[in-house]
Amino acid sequence: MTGFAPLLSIRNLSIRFGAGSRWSCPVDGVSLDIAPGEVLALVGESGSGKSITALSMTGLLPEGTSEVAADVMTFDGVSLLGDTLRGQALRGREIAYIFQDPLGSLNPVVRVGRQIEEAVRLHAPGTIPREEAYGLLRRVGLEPAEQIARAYPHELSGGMQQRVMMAMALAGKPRLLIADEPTTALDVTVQAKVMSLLGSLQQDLGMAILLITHNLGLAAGFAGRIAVMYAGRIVEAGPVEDVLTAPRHPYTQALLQAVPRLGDGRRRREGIPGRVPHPSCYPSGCRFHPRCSRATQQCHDQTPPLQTFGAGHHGTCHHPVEHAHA
Amino acid sequence: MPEASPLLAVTEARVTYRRGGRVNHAVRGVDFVLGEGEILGLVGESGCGKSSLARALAGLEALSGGDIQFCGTSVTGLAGRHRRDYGRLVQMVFQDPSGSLNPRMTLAQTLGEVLTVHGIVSRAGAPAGVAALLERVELPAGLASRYPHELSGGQRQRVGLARALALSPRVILADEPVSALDVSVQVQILNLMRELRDREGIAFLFIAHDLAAVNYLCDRTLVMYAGRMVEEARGQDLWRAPAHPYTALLRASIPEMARRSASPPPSGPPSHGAAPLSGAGTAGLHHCPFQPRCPRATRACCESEPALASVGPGRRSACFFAMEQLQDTLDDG
Repeated sequence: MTGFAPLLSIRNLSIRFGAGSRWSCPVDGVSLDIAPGEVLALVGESGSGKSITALSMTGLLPEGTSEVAADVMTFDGVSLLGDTLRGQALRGREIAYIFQDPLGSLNPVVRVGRQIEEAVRLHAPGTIPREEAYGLLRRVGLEPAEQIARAYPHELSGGMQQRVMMAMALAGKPRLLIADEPTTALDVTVQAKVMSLLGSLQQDLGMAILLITHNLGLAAGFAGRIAVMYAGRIVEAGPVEDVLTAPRHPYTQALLQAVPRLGDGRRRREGIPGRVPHPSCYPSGCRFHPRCSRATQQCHDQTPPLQTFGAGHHGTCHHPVEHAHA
Repeated sequence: MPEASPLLAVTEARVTYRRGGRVNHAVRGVDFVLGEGEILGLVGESGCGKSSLARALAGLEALSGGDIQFCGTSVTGLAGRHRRDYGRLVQMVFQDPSGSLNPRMTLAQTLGEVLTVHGIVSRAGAPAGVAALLERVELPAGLASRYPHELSGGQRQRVGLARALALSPRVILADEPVSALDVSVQVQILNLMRELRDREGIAFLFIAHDLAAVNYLCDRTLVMYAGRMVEEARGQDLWRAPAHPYTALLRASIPEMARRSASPPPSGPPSHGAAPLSGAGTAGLHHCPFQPRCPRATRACCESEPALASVGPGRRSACFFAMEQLQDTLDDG
């Protein structure tokens, strides 16, 4: 996105994990911008580093066994690196995070109303916590709020639990909401409801959303831009229409071809051979080359540089896919 | 698909759980057949009774009513050798492959045990038997000495299939076999299931909530809601033109590449209208279970539960307005 001062800006992010002499670097060289109010989808297979990248923005990575370094990592101009007080204050309030498994993130022995009030006290001082909590419950479509507030998490369905998580996340009026596989555990009809709620909240509150998902259909329907991650690097990024209809990186193309779709019947599809490499043994050069049908010696030897494929559409590949009518 | 010799024929099957004074009618009178070498899909939301039905088919759950026939013989009262034979011929594969593999046994031990315990090969013949099984699921023979944690999710699910194949089953009941796998791997397992059917004539009951995967793999599909079968259709008919409003809702809920809208599907459920747990009702309902979420519901839907009735070749729907639903979806596109 051009013409906007980015809300979140990351340049050359690398994350290391380990202890003693054993360190691995699951994420390196990641750069991305999120504009105010935009929805960016981050997609890729499990183990590609999507969640770690997002967690690094919130300071939720374990201290001591992880290291986050970047040339730039700012939220609205404020650095998120290190333990700056201002950066800490942003996390949880202006940058909120919702996880895949709502039941695992809620306290099972505390009524959901009190859990939301706790978030309100922390992130919205000066308001009346109970009233604010009811308002948040209504905001996420849980009514009657007074009755839902008295429920324990296990008394709610999966979709309702995820709405409670969203209510807590909204307590601080975040400007960036990170939604990490928010609907993976939900039924498809409930998923549709939760995503449409997220969409209307995003529009009403003007917040940006970083949607982490492995569901390309969800990314297509919801996001404006998409970034494809593989083995700790972003291999392709751009407007959703461009990336999904004319993918230039062979990995993006392979991901798209691996997923059966209702529209195109039973045409045989192939998965991607092999698996995402472990961070301790990332391949040389382009990390996708051992699984890539277009790989050459060059891909083995050299890391491909970032190149521009079109307006706002970038990627790293020595032999990008050509499209006849592009 | 082959109507000639149903391998499995299920009539009026009921599964009921009782705990304390509470009765949960998980499956409330379900009829269907599974043909020789057929891949039959079973879809529905959590709690609709699809896993209970599969467990009953595998003999892991007793039916509280109705009958299951395997090759023309009722299996509900089987005992002894006949019960064991049935257990061999109808195998189950689960969603979480690692949960069903012993972490301290190599693949050779796990698969070898199945083969020798059932007397399929002698102890001496086990390594060759294991190698043959690995080949059938397209795993390299070198993996035999590995432990489950050394495998990828897709490889583990192939081992799950290999273990089922060890007993030369005629039917494999696959309960969400790909939901735990990465998107890049799911289709590989689907392709393997299709090849096993094509090569060895094994029939599959494929239980899934991923409608696109069901559409990709299955010859015929059943849709369950609140313990009942609400629609049945062949091939792609189900998704081209649903004949039940619930199927239409499922279809409208799928985020598709082609459809770019953040708006909810037109016939979305009412707010926090999740699927009712089938146990919430009684065994016989006096209204259509989908009626509270249904855009077509009329007074008739509140007064009796529609039966599953034929609405075309190979097609059944349990809706008073099946024809209208069919017509509308055909008109739409």
